[in-house]
Amino acid sequence: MKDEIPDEDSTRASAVDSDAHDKHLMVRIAGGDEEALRELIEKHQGAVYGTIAKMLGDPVEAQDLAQLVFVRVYRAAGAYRATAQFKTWMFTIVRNLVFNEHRRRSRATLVPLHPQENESANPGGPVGLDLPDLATKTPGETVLQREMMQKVDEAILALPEQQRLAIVLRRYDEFSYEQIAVILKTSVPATKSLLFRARETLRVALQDYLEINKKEGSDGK
Amino acid sequence: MRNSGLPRVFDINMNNGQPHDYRHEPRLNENDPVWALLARAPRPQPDGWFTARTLARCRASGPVKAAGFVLGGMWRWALGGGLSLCLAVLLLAPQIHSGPTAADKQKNVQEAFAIMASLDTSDDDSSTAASASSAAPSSLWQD
Repeated sequence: MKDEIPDEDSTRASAVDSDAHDKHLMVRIAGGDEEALRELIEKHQGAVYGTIAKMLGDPVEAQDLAQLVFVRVYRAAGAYRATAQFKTWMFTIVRNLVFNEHRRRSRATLVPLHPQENESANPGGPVGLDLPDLATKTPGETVLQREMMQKVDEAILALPEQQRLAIVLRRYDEFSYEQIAVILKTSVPATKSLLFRARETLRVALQDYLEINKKEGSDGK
Repeated sequence: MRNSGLPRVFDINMNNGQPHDYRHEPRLNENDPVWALLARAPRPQPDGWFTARTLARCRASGPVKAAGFVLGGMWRWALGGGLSLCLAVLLLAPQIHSGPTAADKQKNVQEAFAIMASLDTSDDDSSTAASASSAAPSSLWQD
């Protein structure tokens, strides 16, 4: 137990360094340094694009919104005041854009052009391009892995938007409860409650795959 | 602390009266099967041209908003100042108008009293005269 705390502290120290570097990049961007903007985009594009893709389940729309996030960051660089962590501030922009997009979609009923064809053409899931890993896995394992990915993505997409963003930020971006609370404009207990409910919903929705995953894990050992 | 007699307050962020240490919670998550399953569906990554396209879009959006922000701030201040000025005028205007009207009303009342007073005195004279003139015929009739 004692060994874990220095690890946490070192992680926190590196996060503080990273945040200071981001803030320094923002100062340079405000001064018109395009190289700093490139560095900032390259550093955060995976997290921003990945989070939006998980939230929307649409890679094309995710690209557009992720670009818009960086445009907003760039435009606001002159007025940016380092009062909060940069990443938290940037993900507040992500939250606003994603929730606005949800509202826009709920108003306009979007009909896919060829839903059945798309599903059969891309059984790997609603987001990303997944090529089969035939070198290390049998075709059966690959199909199961794809199906599992698809079901996990579908289960995440079925969550209410607040729960969905909370679980994506916590699981994939490893944000703290406090940071998620700031991004979602809620309290830490409310964030914990959101995460608990999201996890319970996912547990029920993915029951079959949880058992397979558990069995695979025990076989692996 | 326990013998202080005060009720112990339990908060959702507290752990038996001690502040909750969030640092250990990610490690609890790792043991959760749902958490492990979510790791089987990693986040998609953007393509190799994402940075170039985003930079181009940033360039197309115009320069950094520093000057625009100052102008925007000035516009906001000007608008706020104008609105507050209008509000002040609207609030003060009735008071400015009500000042002279009250004085005028008082003056009118005073004048009315003066007229009434003068009428009262003339009425007294005429009433005595009238009573004198009316008394004569009655006495004549009685006769």
